[in-house]
Amino acid sequence: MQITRLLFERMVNKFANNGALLDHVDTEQIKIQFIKQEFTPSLDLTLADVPVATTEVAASSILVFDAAPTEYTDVLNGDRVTEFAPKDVALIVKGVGGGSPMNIYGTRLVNNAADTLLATAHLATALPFNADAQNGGEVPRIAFRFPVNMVR
Amino acid sequence: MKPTRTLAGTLSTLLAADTTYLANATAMKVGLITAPFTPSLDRVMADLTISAQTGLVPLAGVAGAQLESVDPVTGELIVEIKAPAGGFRWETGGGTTYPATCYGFALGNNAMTVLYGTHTLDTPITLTADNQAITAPPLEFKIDPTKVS
Repeated sequence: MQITRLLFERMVNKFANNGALLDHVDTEQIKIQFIKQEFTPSLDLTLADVPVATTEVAASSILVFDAAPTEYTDVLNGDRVTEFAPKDVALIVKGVGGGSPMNIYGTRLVNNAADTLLATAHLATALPFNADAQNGGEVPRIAFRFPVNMVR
Repeated sequence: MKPTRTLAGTLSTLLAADTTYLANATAMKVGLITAPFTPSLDRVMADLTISAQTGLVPLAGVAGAQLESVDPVTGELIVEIKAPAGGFRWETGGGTTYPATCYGFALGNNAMTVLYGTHTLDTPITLTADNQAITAPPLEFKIDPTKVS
């Protein structure tokens, strides 16, 4: 069936505000971590497919902000977008002094215990880190984009 | 971000169980669309001509959570509207005015004031006499989780 905008936006809204998986309002907040191995984003990725940097980066995760995600319709292409904000920090990954050279290939979104993989974002260009603590790089926004043609 | 299957699956499970719309305690209805229309995301009930004729009035489905599943062939997430006993079936008679042509089906709230979706018939069906019937095919929303980015 052709879905209406009312129901389509409702579907996205329910997805984004699902406290069981996308918890953003209490101490069990979801968070992003930084993936240190090349990967291909897929519905079927597991935690083992996307290992993350821990001691190699200054902060190994970023919590999402404890406010409802922002939803909007992209004026350029009509996609429905829902976006979470980071809590207290910018969406930047930073190196540590003396750390081994490594690359960051993207981010993974996990539950607070980091035992459930929720989503991944792949960087078009990997971020190369060396031993310089001043190194840093932007990571993708914590957002989901839903094109209107995904429902038929 | 690309969701995992665990997260993507909630698109259909939460939609099918949403008590504000599809899983409302008051059953949704399906009506016959009796004028040509163009399916669209922005279509609203006022855009459609829904039959109110004897035998062809909107039919109530089943209240509460609707069916949801995964298509084993395509991997699409399916939300299927529960049909009442006997299906969404309309039969002419008792005063129907002919001809009556059905171009598709409209899924709406119980009052048929809010439109949730439309199904278009490839070929309109024209009813010309009593004792003719139309049965809706399975009314489903098919969601492609691979398109989320």
